[in-house]
Amino acid sequence: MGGDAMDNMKKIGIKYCGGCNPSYERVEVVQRVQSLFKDRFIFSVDDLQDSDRMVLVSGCPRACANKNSGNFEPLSHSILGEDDFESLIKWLTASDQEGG
Amino acid sequence: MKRIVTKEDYIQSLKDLHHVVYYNGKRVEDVTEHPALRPHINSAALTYELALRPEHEDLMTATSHLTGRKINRFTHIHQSVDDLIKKVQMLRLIAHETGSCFQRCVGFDALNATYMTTYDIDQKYKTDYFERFKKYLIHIQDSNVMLVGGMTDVKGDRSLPPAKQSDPDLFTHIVERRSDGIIIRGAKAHMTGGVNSHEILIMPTQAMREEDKDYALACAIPLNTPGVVLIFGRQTNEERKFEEEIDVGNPLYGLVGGEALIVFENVFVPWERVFLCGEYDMAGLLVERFATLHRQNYGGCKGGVSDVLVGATALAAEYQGTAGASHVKEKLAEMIHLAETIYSGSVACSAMGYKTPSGAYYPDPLLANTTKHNVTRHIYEIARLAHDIAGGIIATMPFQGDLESSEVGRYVKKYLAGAKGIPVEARIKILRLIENMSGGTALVESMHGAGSPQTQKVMYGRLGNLEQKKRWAKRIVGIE
Repeated sequence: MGGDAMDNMKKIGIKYCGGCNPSYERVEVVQRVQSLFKDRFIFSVDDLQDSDRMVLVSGCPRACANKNSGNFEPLSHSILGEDDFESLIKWLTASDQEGG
Repeated sequence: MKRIVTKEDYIQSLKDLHHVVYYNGKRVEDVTEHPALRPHINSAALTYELALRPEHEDLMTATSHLTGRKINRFTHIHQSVDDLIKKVQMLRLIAHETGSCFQRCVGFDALNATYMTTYDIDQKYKTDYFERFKKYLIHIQDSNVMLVGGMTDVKGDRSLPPAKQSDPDLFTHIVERRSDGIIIRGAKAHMTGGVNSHEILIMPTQAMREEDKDYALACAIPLNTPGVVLIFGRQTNEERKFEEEIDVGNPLYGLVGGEALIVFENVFVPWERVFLCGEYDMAGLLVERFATLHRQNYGGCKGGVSDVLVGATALAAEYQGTAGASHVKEKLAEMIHLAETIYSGSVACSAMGYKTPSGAYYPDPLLANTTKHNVTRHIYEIARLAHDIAGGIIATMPFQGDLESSEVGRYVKKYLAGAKGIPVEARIKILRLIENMSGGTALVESMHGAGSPQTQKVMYGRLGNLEQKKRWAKRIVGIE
């Protein structure tokens, strides 16, 4: 992929909870998603404030990753378990189609 | 000192320390290369490594209230109830990775206890311990060194106070006060992570009376200070660490914390590292706070370790075809109940924590003591159930050498086979892990680490407020 294409790709920030007792392998799920969308988005765990969208990855319904995510509320998607994988795919697909 | 960031930094810093460590009568030149010590180093190293992973950063790091810099949570002073809860969550998460003790909580608790108590000492005596300690804390936070929490003295005759012992060194004490600092002598026992830490924060071991004022001592020294000698303690089956990996049980992370006897033979401590020096009436408060902060932990780390043991036990049942039996399911459920019970205690004492005059937050002491007391019982019961489900095979299995033997290996593979499709080696590995986690030293640590059960009962007497409970009973039945 050329530099211009990369420049136009949206940046998806990945924000994790601390992972005290997760009910699933959070990193594995994120890696699966990243591999599916690697040509569509740039995924990053750094400089989250610069992200266009944010995926909030929590290990359980307590949703600790959602804390302090205020500015990203409308542009973020939260996953709390492995069952949320499909909804994340749909959300990313929709984000990709939105453009801009 | 160069800031320690990575696991590799940590290991190199231990190589560079050149502290005096003995193992079985022999001086250890490089602790990082010694097979009996390396698993404990690996375990402590995870406290550095996990702090660098985005998926654990939220628990493993914090922001210093003194400098505003990002620090490892093990060097943080709790600034809120949320910090207290995150501490417990962090301990559980690390235990999931190690299945063993990672040692660094003791120094963490010593930092918090000394921070809040030096503030109170200064309020009473107009000393400047708190300012000294804050400077020391910044050094710890910025260098990210690992600290031993040095409380337990060897105590000699337990019926006698420090000053009445036949040997004055049986409690660590001030030998001489000089213009530039103090000279101390004595020893601290059961020092978790001692041989793979950089510094020790010494605290008194119990409440003191006026005649014991030279024993009312808190100070910090690097472990390579002249006169400091560390003697590593024996553990159950520790000779396994010198063998092949399967029989070790937990080959990477060993067994409990790796405790040491740390001797101080006329050790010099400069004044800027002295935080209690003769104010004997404040020793008890420091001890109580350290004990509470440390007892807070046990449902976190032991809860996490228990999660691993529950998983291993469930696998053992699957591997030998008993997983479907109703009594096995019931016993696994009981193990989970016990593990979650101790965890809930740690969360509860944190949630009910409060702000001390220093600004640092402190867990509810009665609930923290209750948590640790439950650990002295529940870990034994969890281990008993693990033994019950795993079977006698955990005590009678052949050596790894037999499994790999060209002569008898085929017999081991044939006669230790379990459920269809499960490699014998996998079954043996899981059974060895259960053996490692559920016997000997691992259990004793749950009993006596952070104080023996009787010390928790003493706290019930002090904090349980029996008189108020009597008033409630009398009111209900109308007794004036």
